[in-house]
Amino acid sequence: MLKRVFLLGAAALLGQAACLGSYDKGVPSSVVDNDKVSDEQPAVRPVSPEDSTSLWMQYGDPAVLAARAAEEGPLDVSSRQHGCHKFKFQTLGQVMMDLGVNMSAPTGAAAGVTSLVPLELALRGVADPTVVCNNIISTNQQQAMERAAKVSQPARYLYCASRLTLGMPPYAARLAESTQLTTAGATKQFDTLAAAAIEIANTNLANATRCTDGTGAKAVLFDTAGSTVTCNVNGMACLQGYMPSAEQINLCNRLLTSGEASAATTVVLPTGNVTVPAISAMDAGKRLAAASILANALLCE
Amino acid sequence: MSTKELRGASRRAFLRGATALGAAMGWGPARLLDFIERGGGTAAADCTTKGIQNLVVFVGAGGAHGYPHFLFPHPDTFTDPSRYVENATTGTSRAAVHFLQNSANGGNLSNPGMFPGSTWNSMPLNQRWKRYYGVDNQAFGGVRSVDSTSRAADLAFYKQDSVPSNTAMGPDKKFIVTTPHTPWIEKYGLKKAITAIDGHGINPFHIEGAHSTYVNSAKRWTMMASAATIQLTRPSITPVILVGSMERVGGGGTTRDFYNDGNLPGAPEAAIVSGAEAMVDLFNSNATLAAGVLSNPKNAVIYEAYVKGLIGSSKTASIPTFTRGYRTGKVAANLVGLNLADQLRATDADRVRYGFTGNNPSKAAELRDRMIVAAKALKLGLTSQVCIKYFSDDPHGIFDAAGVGGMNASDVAELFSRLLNAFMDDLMSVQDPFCPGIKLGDNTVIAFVGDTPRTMTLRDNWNDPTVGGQNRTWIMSNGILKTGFFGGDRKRNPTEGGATNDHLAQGPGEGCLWDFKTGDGILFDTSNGLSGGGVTTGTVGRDGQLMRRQAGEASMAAVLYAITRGDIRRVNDFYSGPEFPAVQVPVLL
Repeated sequence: MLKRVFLLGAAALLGQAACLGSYDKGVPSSVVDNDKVSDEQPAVRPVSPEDSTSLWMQYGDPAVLAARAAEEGPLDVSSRQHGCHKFKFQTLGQVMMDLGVNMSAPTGAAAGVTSLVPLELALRGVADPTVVCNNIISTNQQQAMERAAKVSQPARYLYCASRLTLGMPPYAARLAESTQLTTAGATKQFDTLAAAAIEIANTNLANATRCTDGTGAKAVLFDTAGSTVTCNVNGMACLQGYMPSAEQINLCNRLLTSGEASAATTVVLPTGNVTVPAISAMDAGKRLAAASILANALLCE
Repeated sequence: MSTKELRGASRRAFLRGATALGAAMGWGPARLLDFIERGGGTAAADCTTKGIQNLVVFVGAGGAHGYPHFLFPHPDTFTDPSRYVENATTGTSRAAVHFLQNSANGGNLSNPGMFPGSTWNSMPLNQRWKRYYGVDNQAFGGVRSVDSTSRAADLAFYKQDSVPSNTAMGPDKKFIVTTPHTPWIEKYGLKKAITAIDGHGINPFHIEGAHSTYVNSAKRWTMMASAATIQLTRPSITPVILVGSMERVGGGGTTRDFYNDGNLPGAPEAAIVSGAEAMVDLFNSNATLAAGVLSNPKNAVIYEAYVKGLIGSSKTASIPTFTRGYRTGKVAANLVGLNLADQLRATDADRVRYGFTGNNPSKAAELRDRMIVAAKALKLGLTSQVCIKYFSDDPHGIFDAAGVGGMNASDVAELFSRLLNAFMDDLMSVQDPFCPGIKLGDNTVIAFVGDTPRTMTLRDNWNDPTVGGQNRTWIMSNGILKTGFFGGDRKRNPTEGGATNDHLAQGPGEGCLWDFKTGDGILFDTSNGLSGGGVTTGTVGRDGQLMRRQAGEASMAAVLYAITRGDIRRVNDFYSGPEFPAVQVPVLL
């Protein structure tokens, strides 16, 4: 069936090319290029019918579109299936907070607001939101910007500073939150979750407010037995919202032993150097495991 | 996406193409529209329905806003030689342009070795410029000068003692002046020609920013913030980048005030950086920085592999409707581990391509690097707007052989020409990442704003005042705005003086603003000075600067008009002044 749809698409393209081949011209515009000296009035005109081929081609390769249609199946079937939609901005913040990531509001946020979730409350009436976000790093704005460019910052800073990329709806600009995943948005989301993973790995979910059993005991992400560290099934389920498959547990355990250690370093900055401690291979593995699980689990809402 | 989002010619063309394919596949139009959105994605749909352009703003701060005259001279001075030629033997002029100067006045490169391959110094004066006919507007169209010498010059050139109205002249009679240093036009044609619009003020002369950026002066809404709000439909990581420390209109304030003085609702915050190197740093992912999860590059590789593995092992991995989202996630897993600095940083090869490889003068090297990084960031879709401050060198002495800060008038023209041409070539070498099918350069508006454009009518001491104390904005709109000059100054005779640099003095020559409906010139009447109370139509000194402000706001609205590709309704979300059809190329909506 899929093959047939694809073939139909390809045949349609061939047919279109055959019928309209002579229409090949540059990309049309309602403004006629006028790059010569001439006494002709610069023309402004509607796009003419013969322009349709190149205009059509302009908005994507029809072969690719046809292939995608073939891949995703007939519309009347695919429209009834769930898809991979972007994680809502506020939900992302709430999930990180539930997992014990520090999302507290910094100095300069709106009066009385203690949490960055929802962020619009923290930024309500604030003249310069950048200052609020920078205050998470330092109230010295110059220092904050320098550090943000050179040293990894906590998830709450990224959540605040990258809010538009993450999809915070700019209602004042009369735009709703996008439901579509973009490469930029997904990249920034993974970046934010990687920062959150450091806190989650360090505390082993001790600060999480969800995922307790019937006795009130909190789930942990990593079990330690002597020198052996393994991924805990319940902890993984806490992160991703559903029980992990055996394959996913194996991947997590392998990640714990795959991390590469980093040496201590000092980042030299004009407003004051920053000392970055060494990271052991095990800690690196834990962070990678948490970051990878979060990236997979929170990619689609 | 609904059909309501498609407009005008695009809508019709889109439906025609869709119907052709749909007929073959047995699909109805509604299904095809859905098909396009799902297949082409939101970005492609945005191209069809919104087509918002990128924006690059060059901010000539601290007196540097006069330099664009060397690239885009005001044409109305260059009609009859009796208006501008001072020495009939040599053909030199006292107009403040480099291409009509002798060597002692900055007419030759001071250090040809700085620009390998340049033939400028061996080029005769009469081959250094030409009238380029075919543009849409002549600034002094419809003007009958009050000065008899100027009228005589018009009579000699136009065969009547006034400039014919723009409504009466065909494009064969309207021209701009191009020199070998005028960028883009010889290679890309009139679609890359400049629209220059006068308006807003210039006092106090020198600020680290621009006086001309308000699209709504009462609310202090700037063109940049308004543009950024419009550009939010482009899903870039960093919507706006401001390079260099700047001030608000009128001076003072912070760099953020330069960008968004009036706290325009909905405007994204700008990333503010000090220079090219800091621009590069903007785009490192947080995870790859020191202390980040992926700071060790080996961990980045592991992360990417395992995220992809986890995605592949998801129960939904095989569901077709998840495929596109997962594909995006896999790309992101790679990008988050990349240090984009290496992709963005200016390389030696870039510098060779931009035609200037040295590190001195440092102001030139820094501008070059800022432009290189900006082009790369735009190519990668990392940003939609970059405001680049340059020079800030108040070049009163630029028409000396040695010039100012290591560059004279010809050096600057040669530099800007090389940089801007290479910048455009870079943008034209790739498709817009959010609009496949449109070249990035054809989807990027370039504007020059600043504190004062200086006078172009007299090179002596290259003073700051224009005739009416009006500012000027040069815009490359990709064909969305009418080309040519709207308002401006011109020489009345070759020898006129007026060498004063007072903030409230009238600049040399005669000047005009422009009629919003016809584009014709409206002469300044400066008999009451450049400031003061009372309202008398057609004057500057007694209109409370209303006309300059209105023309200035319209010039900024014109930039927005270009960015929206002619969606005046969107422009009017920010602009509340009179209609200005003279500047707009009508777009069917």
